[in-house]
Amino acid sequence: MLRLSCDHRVMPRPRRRQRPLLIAAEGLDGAGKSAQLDLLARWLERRGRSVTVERWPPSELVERAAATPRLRPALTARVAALLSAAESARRLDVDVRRPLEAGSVVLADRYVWTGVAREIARGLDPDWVASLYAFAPRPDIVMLFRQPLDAALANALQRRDSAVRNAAMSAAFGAFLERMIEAFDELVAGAGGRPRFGPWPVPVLEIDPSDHPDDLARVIRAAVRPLLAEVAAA
Amino acid sequence: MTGVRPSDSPVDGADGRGLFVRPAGHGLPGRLIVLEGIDGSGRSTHARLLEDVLRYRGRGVTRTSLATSVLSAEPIRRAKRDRASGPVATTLLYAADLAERMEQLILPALRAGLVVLADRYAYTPMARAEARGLDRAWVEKLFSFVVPADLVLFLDVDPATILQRRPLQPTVDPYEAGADLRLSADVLEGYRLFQDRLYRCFSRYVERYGLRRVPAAGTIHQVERGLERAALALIEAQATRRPVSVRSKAASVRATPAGSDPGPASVRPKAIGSDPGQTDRSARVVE
Repeated sequence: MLRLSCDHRVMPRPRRRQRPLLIAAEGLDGAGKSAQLDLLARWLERRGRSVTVERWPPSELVERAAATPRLRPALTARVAALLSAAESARRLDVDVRRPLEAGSVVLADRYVWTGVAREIARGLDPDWVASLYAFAPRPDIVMLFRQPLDAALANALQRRDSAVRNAAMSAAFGAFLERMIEAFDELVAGAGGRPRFGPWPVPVLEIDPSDHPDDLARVIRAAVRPLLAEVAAA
Repeated sequence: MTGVRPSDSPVDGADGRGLFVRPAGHGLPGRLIVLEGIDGSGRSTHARLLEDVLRYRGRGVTRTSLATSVLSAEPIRRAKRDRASGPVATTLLYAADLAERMEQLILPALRAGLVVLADRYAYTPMARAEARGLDRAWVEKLFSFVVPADLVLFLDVDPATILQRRPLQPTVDPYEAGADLRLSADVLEGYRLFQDRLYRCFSRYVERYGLRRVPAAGTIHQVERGLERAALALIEAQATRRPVSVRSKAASVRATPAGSDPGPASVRPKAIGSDPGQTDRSARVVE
């Protein structure tokens, strides 16, 4: 959506003849995304690629406002969505665009779909939310870990972070996670199909977290290998 | 009740962009009047004068300006100074600022029947974003949630005239002057080129969103008369609940058929709009 100069694919080519890649892992917590990305990172490094792993941190502006009684009333879903997106815009420029411009593979442990699904789960209009994040660099592939609701709930209840645990014990949390799952479903359906939905069209690999990790690693490598083979033209 | 826009209005939501969810406006008892204009157009001066006029007429008035929200004011200031922050982030913060003011100030005031006078509205951050090359459709969609204004007055004076009237202020905000774009090695020239871009954006908004041009090259008194006439016509139409036809050289206003919605009926729909009820009920944050 930005001018082409902001799209990593047409930046001045990296000195190494290797095409930058952005691979995003999405899905609810406890699905094993981090472990799989770790395996993938090591596999890529063995093949001579430089790899960076980025997370999708909660918005500092939002957290600070939520923690301050004076500021909290102003923090509605729409305001929170816009503040998060603003912070993401800045962060993605530094943490994703720059490594891509340098020819790296960037592995995103949660990415834009997480932000989109969360805002939809909070009740904002899906089309508006999806359009909001169109500025973010488009991944070469999204791996969606289809973590079922009960597993995600159980995971949240076991977290060491007491804030997460307490939130998870509320009746609303299950409904919230359910809405996130529905939003992910919509994003998958719309990622390439008609009608299109989401910040950009993108190839999707659906992962069943209940499969054996070794099998998952194989599936993921099989999906990523063809992307590596495309080398930046001389 | 029919939406009483002239059928040839270029801002009819039928173009598919969905800008006007409610053709009759926000449907609340108050009135939202917006003043827009590029740097040096006299906007802040006239916002204050207009506020006084409306108060004198017995209306409760509340004024609101850009970047004054509790959560976004400071982040906006920081983003404008921060080299690592780009126009996307700044534009999103302006949208957050508008969202908060809309929910905490504008909508409650409109519900209470007040006149809200907005010194700049979504159009300014939109123009600043588009002038920096951000995608038009994205910018429009981003700001589409704002409450539709009942009247948007665009203080129409071109940048060349402004620069003749007064020297470039040394205190002008670099972001607002487009300094990051480096349109020219010469600071003054760069500033003028950027103001030209903004002016062109606003001219497009006049057509697209139904902004009303108010010639602003004259004296303060002349301009104020033009603004007052438009604002009071809106207020008085509401008070007497009859359709209004306003005769003004600058206005692109049609007389309305009888029985129409008195508030915004006599002028073309103003702004990107949304259902205020829906946005107001947006859920509290659950982290």
